Amino acid sequence: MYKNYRPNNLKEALDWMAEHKLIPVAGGTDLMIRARNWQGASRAMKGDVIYIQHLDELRFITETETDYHIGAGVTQAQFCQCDMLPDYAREVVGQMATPAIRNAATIGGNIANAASVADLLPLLYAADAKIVLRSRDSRRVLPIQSFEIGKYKTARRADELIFEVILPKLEIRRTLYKKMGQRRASILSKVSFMALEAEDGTRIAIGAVNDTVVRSKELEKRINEGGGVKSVLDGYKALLHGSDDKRSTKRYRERVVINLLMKWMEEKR
Amino acid sequence: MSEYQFVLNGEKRFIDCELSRRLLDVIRIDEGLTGTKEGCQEGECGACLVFIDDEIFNSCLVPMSNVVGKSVVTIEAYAKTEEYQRIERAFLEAGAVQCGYCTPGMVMAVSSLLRSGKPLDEDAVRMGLSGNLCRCTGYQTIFEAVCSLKESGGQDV
Repeated sequence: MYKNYRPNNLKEALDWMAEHKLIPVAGGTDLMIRARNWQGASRAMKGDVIYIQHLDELRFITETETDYHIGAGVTQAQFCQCDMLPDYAREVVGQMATPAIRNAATIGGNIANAASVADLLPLLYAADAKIVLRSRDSRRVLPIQSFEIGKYKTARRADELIFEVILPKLEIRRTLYKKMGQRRASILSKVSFMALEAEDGTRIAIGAVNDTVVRSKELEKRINEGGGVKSVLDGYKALLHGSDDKRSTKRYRERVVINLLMKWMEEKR
Repeated sequence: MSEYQFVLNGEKRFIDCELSRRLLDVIRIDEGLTGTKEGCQEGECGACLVFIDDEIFNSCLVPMSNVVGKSVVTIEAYAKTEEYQRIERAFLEAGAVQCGYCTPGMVMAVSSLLRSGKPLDEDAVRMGLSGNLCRCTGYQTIFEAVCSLKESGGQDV
């Protein structure tokens, strides 16, 4: 049997996290499925659980001159409804899951889950977002690439909670976001492709193909310098290590990525 | 007695179960309110939609910890509202109900859409109901029912 902890505030949560090994549960849209069991039966959690959805300290969206700060407990619906946040980001979140799931699922949850198909991640990679982690005694800031270290693997220590996401303010000139899936809503992506043109040029992040999001500053530089299309496409092809699975095939995923890259580069000319 | 409470259909309840217990199990098994259906158990089908503080949630994924201090409304209480009566009539007029299993959840999603204030064009309706699966109707009659609500649909049988 596992224990259920419900802290009164963030301090209490971090105190308990420092003293016990706990699984943080926010909206439950992922962990409650993994813990599924018969109707009426106790959920099959894999350890003691700490509930954090109700913590107001994790629910904020603020801005500075250079960045947006989004609390880990902000729901996807709140993210979409927040006029302060840029349209290109809200568009991505607005295509995730379904209306009811977006009311529960949190920004922090999608990042912590670290699924290879997490649709928030290409956006965060392209924007060079940072993740702020807090424990009772420390605060760490990690670039998203350093936080997501593998499929379902993050650099979060057991005593830490994701506190917020720092999304840099970009001067966006053009965007291309495509989520390919079997249907539009409530679907795990076959490919989740985000291209941005910001003040410093093109940024491209490709999700749902490899275990973690693909981003190459070297190839982006080649695109910005007007390098040959073939060399860019070959460069990306070499980075894609997808495999056939129940959602799609390696061949289809790569074809979609190549087509989107070509579309992006053609529009630029 | 538990320190945790929530409000179910306007009545105060103490939460005496595990905090990981699903809201759906509390509604259907502990409270005997079987209007809310269990379908896929993974947030795909929308049969278990309820309102928590006036927003729709898949109750199969909500641990009781997340309803502490909140107000939950199920189809049983919602069915007593005038808004529900309008939706019901629109569904009847359009033939939008066949086996009926998805209908309570579908109605909750329609209500949420109405409250959002978005114009009820076909795109908004499809988006609003994108989390609800129906295996009988082929959806078209449901979309027609909801679109009819923007005019005088549902006003009279």
